[in-house]
Amino acid sequence: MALNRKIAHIDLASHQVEVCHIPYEWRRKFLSGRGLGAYLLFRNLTRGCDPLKPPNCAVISTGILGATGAGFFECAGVATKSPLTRLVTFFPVFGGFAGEMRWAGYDHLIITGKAKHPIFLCIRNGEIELRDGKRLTGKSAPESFAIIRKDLKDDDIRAILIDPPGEDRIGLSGIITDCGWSSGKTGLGSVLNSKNIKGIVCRGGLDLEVKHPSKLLSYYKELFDRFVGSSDWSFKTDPFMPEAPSSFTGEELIAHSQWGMKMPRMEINEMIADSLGLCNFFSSDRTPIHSIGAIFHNLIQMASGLEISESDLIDIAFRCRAIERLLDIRETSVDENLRKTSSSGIMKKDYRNFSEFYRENGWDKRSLVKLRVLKTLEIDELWPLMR
Amino acid sequence: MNSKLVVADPIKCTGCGECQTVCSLSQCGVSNPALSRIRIVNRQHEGLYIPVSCQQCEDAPCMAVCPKEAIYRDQLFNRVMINYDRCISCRMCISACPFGAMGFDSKAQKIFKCNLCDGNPQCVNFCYPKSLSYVEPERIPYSRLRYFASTYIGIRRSRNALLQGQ
Repeated sequence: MALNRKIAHIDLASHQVEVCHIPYEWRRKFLSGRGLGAYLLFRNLTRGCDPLKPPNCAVISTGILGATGAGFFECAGVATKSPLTRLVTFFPVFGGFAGEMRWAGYDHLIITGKAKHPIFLCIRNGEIELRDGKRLTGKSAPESFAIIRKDLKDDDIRAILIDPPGEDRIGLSGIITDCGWSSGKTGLGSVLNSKNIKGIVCRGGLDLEVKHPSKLLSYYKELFDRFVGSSDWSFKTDPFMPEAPSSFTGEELIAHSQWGMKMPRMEINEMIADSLGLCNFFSSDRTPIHSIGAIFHNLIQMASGLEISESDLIDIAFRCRAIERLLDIRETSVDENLRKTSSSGIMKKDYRNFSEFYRENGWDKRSLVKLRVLKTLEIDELWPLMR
Repeated sequence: MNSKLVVADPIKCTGCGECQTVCSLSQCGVSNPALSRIRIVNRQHEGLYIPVSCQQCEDAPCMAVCPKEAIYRDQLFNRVMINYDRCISCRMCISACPFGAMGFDSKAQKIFKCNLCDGNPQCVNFCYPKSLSYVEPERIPYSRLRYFASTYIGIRRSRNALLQGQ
């Protein structure tokens, strides 16, 4: 099945790796990728920790649709507490890393603690090895990738690596993949460096079973022809929706089925795409936003056999966004530095705008942090961690 | 009779590996690049990716080396096929193939090779950089010919424009 991949808890301080299965309940509630990544981060992050200290935790996740033929739309992602904003962050990692991680047997890697000396993680066919990475210190990403490739004597490895800016703990330092994609913006490189990790290397040959392979392939072919094959991506030429409403935008607010929270449709689509392990481009403003729910439903059904309706997908997006927001609220309430910056200078105006947006749509502290709300969202097991 | 062949142009290959995933999905029903009939040889540090699959040779070494005559030529699609009723999985064909295009499935204990998907190769369908193509043998050099012609015409045009400008 496409769902038999596992979670690995990697404790760098004690060099111990704990592997566990992903319960079906979690798949139904959070899919995987960004959604389940945020949930795992919530459960494993020490409250109010410094982002560049060992208690911080980095969750690397891929989605259900990784390695099922999504090809150039595939992405993995890293969720952690950012040293730049001191809030929870998620940033996608493009390239072949996502697929290779699934073939190596894992959907999520939870990395905590700090290694004694520089290391790199080597994941091959379900086995996780912590290898010595002292030689990679001070090397750029392509240089260290060449060294690793020579070490492992394998040309087909996929890797994410950090650069000298990550070693200098610059707030904008990123993660570089083997083929040159970079995931920066929120200082992911410095977080990995604070754990003494120089890179994560994947190589796998484990079978990934797909529910309906031939159906899935013909559906992908149809989608790719539409996205890539046609140069004109306007609504009129969309074969799926011949009569597209002209006034339709991604800004339209969608309400939760049971509770008064609202979220722009664009953000819902992005959240689901990230949770499935597809890149944001899949739900960008150029694609028909109103038919994308049906596309996601079909893809999940064909790849994994899970029956998740469109309204359930919207609920999942709300649930995952709420977890990220709750984590932000929790960290803000503890972190003194963050409160100082948010109440002074330029940040103040932005902060006020955001708070207005959040208050209007029910995302602020007063209306979100309630046991009743968490029960509606089916995440009440996180309530003890909030307090 | 269909005499088309899968032809790879390594210059256009971006190494995305989509053909490997798609091939294993359509042939075995599971996604695993190790079971793919087409393989990308990764020379990333030199900026090269080379797709390799069975060339359906006319005088096939695998066919010649097979002790049980399990490998035969199928005239319908102009391809080399394996008769699994005769095959004894001795893996002689793997060592004989000059391209390394034969594979061995260790789980099923069976040899596998490209069968051109009965005239509808999925790797070609999903190759969006257009590195792979499924064409008649006499049309194989056409894409390179056309590319050369277009550059030549471009040079001629710019030269004429320069001369007229003077």
